[in-house]
Amino acid sequence: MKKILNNIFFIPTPSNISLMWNFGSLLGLSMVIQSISGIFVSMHYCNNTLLAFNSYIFLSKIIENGMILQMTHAHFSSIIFIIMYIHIMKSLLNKSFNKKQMWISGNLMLFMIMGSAFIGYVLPWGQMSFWGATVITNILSSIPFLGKKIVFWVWGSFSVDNPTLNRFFSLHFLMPLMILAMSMIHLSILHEKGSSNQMGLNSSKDKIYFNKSFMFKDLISLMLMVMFYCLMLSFFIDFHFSMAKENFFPADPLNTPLHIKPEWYFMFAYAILRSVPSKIGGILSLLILFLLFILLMFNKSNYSKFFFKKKMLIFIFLTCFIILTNMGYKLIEYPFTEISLFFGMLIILILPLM
Amino acid sequence: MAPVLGQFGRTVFSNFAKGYSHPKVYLSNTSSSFREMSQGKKILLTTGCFLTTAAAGLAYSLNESVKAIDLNLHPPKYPWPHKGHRHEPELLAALPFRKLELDKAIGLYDAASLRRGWQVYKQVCAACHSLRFVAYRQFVDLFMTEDEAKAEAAEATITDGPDANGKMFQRPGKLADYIPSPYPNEEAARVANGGAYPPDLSNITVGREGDEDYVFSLLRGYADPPAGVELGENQHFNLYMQGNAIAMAQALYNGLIEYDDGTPATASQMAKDVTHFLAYCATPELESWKKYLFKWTIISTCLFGLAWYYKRHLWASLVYRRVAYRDVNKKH
Repeated sequence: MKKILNNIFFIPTPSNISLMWNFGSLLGLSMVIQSISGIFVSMHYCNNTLLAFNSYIFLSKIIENGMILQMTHAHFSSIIFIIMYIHIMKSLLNKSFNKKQMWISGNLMLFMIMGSAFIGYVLPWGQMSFWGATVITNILSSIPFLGKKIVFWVWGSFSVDNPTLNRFFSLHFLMPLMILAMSMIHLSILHEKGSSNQMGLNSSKDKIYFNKSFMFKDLISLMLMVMFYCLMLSFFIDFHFSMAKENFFPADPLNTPLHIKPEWYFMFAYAILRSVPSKIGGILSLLILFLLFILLMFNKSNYSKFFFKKKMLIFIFLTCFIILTNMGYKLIEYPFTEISLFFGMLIILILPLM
Repeated sequence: MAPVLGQFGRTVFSNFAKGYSHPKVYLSNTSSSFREMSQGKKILLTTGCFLTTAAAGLAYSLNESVKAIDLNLHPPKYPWPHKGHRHEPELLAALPFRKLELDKAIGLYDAASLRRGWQVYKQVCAACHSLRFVAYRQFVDLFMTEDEAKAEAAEATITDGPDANGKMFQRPGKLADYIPSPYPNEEAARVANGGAYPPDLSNITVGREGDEDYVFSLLRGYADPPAGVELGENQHFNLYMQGNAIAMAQALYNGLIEYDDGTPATASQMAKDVTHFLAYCATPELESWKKYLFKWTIISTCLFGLAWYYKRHLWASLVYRRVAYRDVNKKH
């Protein structure tokens, strides 16, 4: 116990790290908020195709303060992705991808959070949940020879149906626990290797104990996040911003929505997926993107983070990401497919250059 | 203020001109290629960046103003009380300033309008549309007294059961009952409405693009089809419907019903009231959600201030320390 406490309170930390180094702890705290609200949401949820939608609407309308519970759980998935993308941007900027174990464990968490968010989106069993699940699970059918069988195996049926919903609920409970365990691994590797710092220097030159100094620094960012969340929702943003309009109507396998689209945090992947005309081509380009992203850990470039070219590369990467996110919302027609194809290629080409 | 800003601007500009993106990176900034850049190139780069930002801003604003990804008419924005537009002239006159954002945070439902809206729903919409997720008890102390709500519920006939003989039976409604649907199932609804299914209205104001504005515009958006547009059987021309063809006929006409409170029942008034009522049905806990947000905005702002102050207090000695390297070979 003493060892664990020592590992938390008396870990030597670079004294000069800026607020950008707060996003990791903020991510952990948001995951805790999400887990707690998720446990309470699950108390009111029925994982059956006949009851799932009704139980979700009952939670948000009839149950005392259920709307607050449900909205917190829905909004924090978006907030976690915002924080996670900033956290990734920070590690790209500071060449943290050279710490191989950190990068791998972080990437695994990224994919698990993506999977968990997708599976959680299916659970309300609204129109977009059902059709989103149908579209995404059908990606597996592009695997040669075995594709069809694997899709049926994942569904547990001949379409997205009750068995699919049941196993998705179990997985949505299991995955966050795995993510929390993985975040512990991520943290212990960090404590072994030590943090980087924004000067690009050796961090061991000047370190202080984590203790109160950094605990209050992390508290600032937590309070800032809660403050921004409340301010934005009370004054500027619509309460239902993170929910698709179609998802307020129960799943109907006979009625396809006009535009099937995922949440904003998957839009970049969705845009790349759609920009290539063939199904397998889009999936391959997405796989290449993720593979190159993981392979960044073998990147041996000597660019300092202050090098102009390096800054420009990061800036172009960010711009591509934002444009692709925007393109995901557009129809599949003349300027948009070409633009998303161009920026999809650019984001893939730019990764090896970092 | 101006001297401070001027000083700050000068520092930033001089640092930028020297090639330091931040005063802190002074020492380690040897590999930056800004430093070797000529004055002209720097000016060109800065101008280019400004122009790019301006172009991006222009593109964004054009995109926002048009949003022309679908060929359908988007409803205009209307002032809804719960979205923060107050109509009391005395209150408006008393306010020293007017900020729409502030109104959004404190805007609540208008009880009189909800009461009229329920009347419109009951007498017009309930013939075809269900409201599955709304119970009579929710009306109590919102826009009805308990006795009124009980009387309202008793008017409805609820199928309950099975009783001791295994048969379903009919009984008058109670407060805990949900509003009964006009049709037993979707197929019955489709048959009765010429193949079109009247959607459940309990989520309609959050479940459609444009929210309340869309529902109001749809109710008021009927027109004669323009020349060259052919509609199918049982279809009507509506400006705001996707594809302009809607199975629902125009339902609201001037003077269709008579309000209990004597408000002139124009079609626009009825459309507004029923949309307001449906908005309540979609988000019944909006008021308590706003109350929580208001509390948490204040609490988290205070806590943020405290945490920030205490962090500054803890870091004071650390931030202002100076590290000096002494030459040990040198004799003092």
